[in-house]
This record gives sequence, C-alpha cells and structure tokens, in this order.
Amino acid sequence: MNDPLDSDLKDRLDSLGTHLDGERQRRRATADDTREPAAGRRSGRILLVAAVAVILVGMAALVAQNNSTAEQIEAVDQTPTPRVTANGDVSDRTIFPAGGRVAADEAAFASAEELAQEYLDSRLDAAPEGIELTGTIRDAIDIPGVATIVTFSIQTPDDSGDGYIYITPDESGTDSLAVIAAAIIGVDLTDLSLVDGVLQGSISTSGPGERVIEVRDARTDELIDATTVDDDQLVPVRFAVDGIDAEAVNIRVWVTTPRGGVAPAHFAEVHLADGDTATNAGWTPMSDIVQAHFGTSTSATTEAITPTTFVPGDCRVNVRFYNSAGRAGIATRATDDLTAFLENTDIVNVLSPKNGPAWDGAVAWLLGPDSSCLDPTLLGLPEPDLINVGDLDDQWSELGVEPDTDLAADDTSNTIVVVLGSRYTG
Amino acid sequence: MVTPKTASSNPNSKDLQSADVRERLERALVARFGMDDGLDAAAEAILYAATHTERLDGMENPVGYLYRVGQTAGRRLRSRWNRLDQLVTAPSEHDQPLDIDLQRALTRLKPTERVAIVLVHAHGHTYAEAAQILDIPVTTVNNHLSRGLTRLRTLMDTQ
Repeated sequence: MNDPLDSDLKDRLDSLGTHLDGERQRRRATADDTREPAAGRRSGRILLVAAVAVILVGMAALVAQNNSTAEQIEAVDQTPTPRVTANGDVSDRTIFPAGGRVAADEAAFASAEELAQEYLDSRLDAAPEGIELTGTIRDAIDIPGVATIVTFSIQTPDDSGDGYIYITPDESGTDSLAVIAAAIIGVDLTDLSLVDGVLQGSISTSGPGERVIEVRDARTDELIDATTVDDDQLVPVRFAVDGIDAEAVNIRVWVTTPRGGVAPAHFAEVHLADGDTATNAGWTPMSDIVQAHFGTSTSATTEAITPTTFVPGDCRVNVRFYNSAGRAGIATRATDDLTAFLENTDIVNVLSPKNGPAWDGAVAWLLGPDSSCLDPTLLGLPEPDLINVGDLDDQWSELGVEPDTDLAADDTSNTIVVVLGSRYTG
Repeated sequence: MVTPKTASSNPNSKDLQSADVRERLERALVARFGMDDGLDAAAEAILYAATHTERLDGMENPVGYLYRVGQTAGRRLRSRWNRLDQLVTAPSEHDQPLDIDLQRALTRLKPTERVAIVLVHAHGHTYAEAAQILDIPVTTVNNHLSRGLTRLRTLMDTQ
C-alpha cells in the first residue's frame, strides 16, 4: 500500500507550515488595533432548535410548588419524533404546538455534525451564570429514515458528561436540518396543561443537583422566565409559568451543583408536541433509539480469568467504577456496594467513581496488567459481558470509546476498571 | 519550517502566557478555524489564561484545556456563512504560490484530523506535543494522522 505521506505531500505540508507561521508572525508584528475586532465579524446568533418545548421558570418570581404528596404520574413513554407545526387558534391549543423551525434564517447546514456543533455552541454560550463549560461534538449515528443522533460531551474543570443531539430533516421541505432534542440527562415532564397563558406541570430529572429550568421563546431564544429547583428532587416537582404568549417555547434544563459541591456538566433540552400531557424525554429515550437501532450488544470478547489465590502480603489492587451510561448515581451506588462488601481489607482500594465516555454495552471489566494477583470474580462485581486484560488505554479503545486523558491518568496498572454502560441494569 | 520547541511539562500559570504556549495554541487553532478566527480564538484562550490562573494552576494539562477554551471561542467567532475553504489566503512572503489544492483538501478533513496533520507534519510537532496541545492520548493522535493522511491523499488524488 502506498504511503499516504509521500515525499511530495510531505514537502507541501512543510511549506504550508512555513507559510502559516510566517503569516501569523506578520500579523503579530502589525499593530493589534489594525485588525478588525472579532465582534465585528460575528454573525448573529441563530437558533436552530425546533419543536422543543421549553419550561422556563422565572428567577424573580418562582411559581413552582413542591407537591409533597407525589401524585401518581402517568408518564407517557415518548421517543422524540418531529411534529408538524400546528398553527391553530390559541383557544384550540392544549399544550404549545411543537413549533416551526426557529432558525433566524434559512441557511442549511451540510451535515448533522455541523448543525450539532452550532447548536452546542449556542447552548454553551447561554449557560446559566457561574457554569463554565467547554463542549465537543463527537460521532454521528445515522439511523436511516429516522434521524441522525450526534454524540457530544461537555466538560467543566471538574467533570464531564456525554449525551446525544437528535437531528432530523426539517419538515419545511427544504434541505435544512433541525435539532429536536439534546440531553445528557433524562427529563420527565408530566401532567402538563396550558390554560390562559399559564403552562403548568411536573418535572423530574435523572440526576441530583440544583436545577435551573429555563423557558425561552423558541423563535427568538429570548428568555421568558426561569426558576431554580433545589437538591435532588427525584420526585416530580410542580411548576407553573405564566405570561406565555410565544408561538412556541423551548424547555432547557441545567443541573448545576449537587450535594457533593462539584459542578457536573448536565443539560437537557426536551421536546413537547401539541397535545402531549406528558413525556419521558432527554437522554434516556435517545439512548433507547440508539440501542434499538444497533440491536443487541456488539460481540463481546472475553478472556478467561484464571482464579488466583489471594496473596495478602504483596497484592494491592484498585477498583474504579465508570458511569458510561449517563444515568446519575449508578457508579456511586456500585462503589458504595463494593465498599460495603469488602468491609475491612487493605488488599483492595476502592477508588472514587468517575464519569466515562458513553458506551452502549452493559458491563465491562478492564483489568490492568498488574491486577492479576487478585481474582476479580471474588469481588461481587456486576457480571461483565466483556473482559479485557492489558494496558488500560488500549482497553478503552477496544470498547470503541476514547477516554479523556484525565480518565486514564489516575488509573494505574494495578487498577480494575468497571465500566457501566447504557445497558447496565443495576 | 520553524522547529518546534520542546514541550514543557505542566506549565504554571505564568508559562501559559508565554510565547511558546501562544505559538502552540495559535498553530492548533489556525489549523482548526483558519487564520482569522484561529488567531482570535487563540487570543481569547490566552486572555482566559491570564484571568483564570488559579484554576489552571491546578490542572494536569492546562495547555490542553486552553485549546478547548479556544475551540469554543473559535466556534463562536466563525461566521457560519463562510465555510472554511482555506487556512490562509494571504500569499507567502517567499513568493511561493498558495497551495490552494492542499488547503482545500485539508479543510475537507475532520477538524481533529486536520489539526493533527498540520501540527505534526506542517509544524513538526511530535506526537506527544500534539497530544498535549489537543488534550488527547498519543494513540488518538496516531489514529487521527493515519485516517486523516489516507483521506487527504485520496482527496488530492481526485482533484
């Protein structure tokens, strides 16, 4: 096979590098104020989220009320699907219509990844004050005839999360694409009603933490109202927002500081369609779509684990759980379970759990090359459908995911990594 | 070709505002966004370094984090009306013709592949240096280079 980097290409790349450096240095030598300010070249913000219902609770006027007696919630398991705009009379509406595509202009993106990137950037820019985020678009999962789901990750200095952006062809009939929903966490909206401009309902999210719930005009992205719901309200919390006179609204939920004091990177923007009174939205249904499309787990490779005898005198092993399912708490619970199971031992050191890159398997054991003094089957770990032994960096790659460098840095060669994927049922 | 300087490990907050770090960020972000937006993005990243010294001091790879900051800034700056078609449009000072074919082929690569190729093969950075700048494992740099060069060759052969 011909080397793609032949001498001709190598020379051309080398020349390009010289050219780029020369131009950079020339510009730096020129006075900074001769360069047009970046702000002058920026295009306006463009909203591309369509058919997304937004619940916005005002910071200044919190209307949400806790319902201490949790009502029986009839959640409708609704996967995000595009809905045609319903432009009926206001009096005919029960819930806001899904809304038309709210782009400020009609320019089309060539690919779902480009649209997802634009969407992610706009949402990160508008994150609640105090949240510092960076974001990365990763892979596009094309589901023929349904949608393209683009995976993404967002990071804070202390944490990261992986999620999905759901994109479909715009129903306007043009070549445009539209973002329908995006999320790292699951969001349940139930018992919804819209009467006389007041939107009421119950909301619960899949993770603990202080939640900022925003309602924005879907057409202009103007903030209508926002509210903050404290702590880990895993039971539905009532809310109400009045003054709704927009054609369509977007629901955007940010999860900020949980009890532990570490700011996570949790976000959801969910979809409501006209007439819906409840929806199970966000990360969970998108994950279900991806899993359903790809069927059962990819072929698992297993390597026989030879039971070894404990050698208490010289065996030291770490165990760390990674949450690669996007469901808050599963790695923490598994860590707590293992800690309780082990009771007092200085052979196994249970490390703090981490968030890992999204993985659509169930459970994987990644065994560091120096962890073999301990038989992992004795630890009561979740049953794996995949076991790999060897350098941990390579093992992550064999799962088909690329961990952040910070993930791998703390896992030494005597670490057993347990990856809990989206099909983990614990 | 400018010889890249040896990467310093775990630069502190003062080092992050050094010419060396600025050069790496500019090279990477220009490869990512083109000359105009890339330089502006790098400027924002350097400004972030100057105003977030405590936070960056505690990080294992602050340069990589600054690249991500610059990436976010660059996306915000990039005009969505103008797709990246070339990395630089100004002629070279050495009277060399603009290699438009190469530039256009590079802009058709995935951004991560393009940046890796430009850092390693245009600017001479090592795989480890590129990995640090981009905050990714060396093996991932290798993957980006392998796939990116194959595709680049195909694009240029079909031009």
